[in-house]
Amino acid sequence: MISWASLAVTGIEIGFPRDLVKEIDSQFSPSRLAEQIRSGDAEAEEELVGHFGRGIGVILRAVTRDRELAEDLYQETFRLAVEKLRQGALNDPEKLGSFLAGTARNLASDHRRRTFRRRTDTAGDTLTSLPDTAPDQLGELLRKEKAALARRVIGELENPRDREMILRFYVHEEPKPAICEDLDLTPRHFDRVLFRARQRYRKKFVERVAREGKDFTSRTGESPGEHHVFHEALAEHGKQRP
Amino acid sequence: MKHEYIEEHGLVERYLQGTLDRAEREPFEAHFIDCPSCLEELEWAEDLRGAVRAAVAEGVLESPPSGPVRWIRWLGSLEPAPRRALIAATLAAALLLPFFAGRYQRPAAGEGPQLNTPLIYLSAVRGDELSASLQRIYLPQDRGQGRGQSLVLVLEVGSDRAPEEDGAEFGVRLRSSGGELLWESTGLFLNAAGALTLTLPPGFLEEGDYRLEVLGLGSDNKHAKLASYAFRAVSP
Repeated sequence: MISWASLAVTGIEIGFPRDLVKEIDSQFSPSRLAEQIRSGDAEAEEELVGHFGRGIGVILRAVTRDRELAEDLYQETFRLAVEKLRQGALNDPEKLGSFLAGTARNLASDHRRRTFRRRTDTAGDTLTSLPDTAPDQLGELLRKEKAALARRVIGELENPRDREMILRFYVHEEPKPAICEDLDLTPRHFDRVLFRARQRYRKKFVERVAREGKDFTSRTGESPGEHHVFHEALAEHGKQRP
Repeated sequence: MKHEYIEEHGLVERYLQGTLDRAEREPFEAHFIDCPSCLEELEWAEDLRGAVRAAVAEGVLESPPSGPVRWIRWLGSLEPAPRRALIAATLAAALLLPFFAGRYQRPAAGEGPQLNTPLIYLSAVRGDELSASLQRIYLPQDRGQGRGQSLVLVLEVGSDRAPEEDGAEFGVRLRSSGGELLWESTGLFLNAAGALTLTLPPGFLEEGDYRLEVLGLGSDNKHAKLASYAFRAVSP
């Protein structure tokens, strides 16, 4: 079972799963990987995707705010990065992570800019030319499952002020200082409520997977390779077994 | 970057909200791309955010009240007499303020939506000097007496230049080539594409060289110039 190490930041229970931190491959060397890719090693390219894929996904989703688009740009990010690495364009191989992060961000920003221009240039056509983004049946089922979990997590918050805080932050995306001032909360309280909500949600998700197992996967269509959260939930459930 | 710093400054949530400035965002990305524990925090935070939104969309969670709704609720909590007085004062202010400010204009006869308003994307320039090769903006024909087309200037500020404070506000100043302040506005926010857009009514600009300055306004109410955009307005 993962042990959550308290960081003891001014008494707030904030934790990172230290066991996972220890799992980082101590043999991993960005310089070695960059050099192998430069020399045309195909396995090294796979290792690059395996090591940095999750982070690239987070960056692309954060910039695009569109999961499907992020998935489209994911391969393009690695294609561009590998092309540059093969050409030896990375001056400091130790900064491989920064280089990949920058590649992903630039690609997503450029795409966003181009899309924005297209949409504004063809103002009248926008409504009809937007792709159909309605989720499929399985995606819809998972969405409902998660929505129900979120409702339980938020519903279990005893303080109505905390509930309002989370909803305003996540739904209206109001800035933290404005919410804190309006609800008379300290920034520490704000962080603590969010952190605990995240932990509760995660716990419930893991419990749900543990309880329903394959039934959950068959109903939602989720598989470990398709969804990071589900993957982690399964892994965590596995670690919790005696 | 240390985990204590990440926690203390709420970088996970601020990153996902897109309110980190470049000075914090780049080191954070360089850190988390290779840090399983931070990736995990980011992914679960992303997931909870999506789940909460889905719950609101599904109607299983009540949508939080928006600003105007909260104001109306607060108003409803007042005693009848002060509530009536406040409503009357607000309505009077809303109706009369434009007249006192001299800004009220009756819509011209036949005025309606404008089609294909020109969008002009301005690129930031370095320094304060107007360069020799200014971007040209063609003024609308028949712009006299407020007629003709408006122009929309798009200033692509982007999150790279956004100040670090959450919910950053921006200001814009328009100066002549001689540095004279012609117009300014504050309390602006970036749109979803990370840009500020300014709609200039016909007749607003005359021929000449101009500089637009974008200012960042942090929660400490201090202005800082983030970018300059220079252009030359010419008749077609």
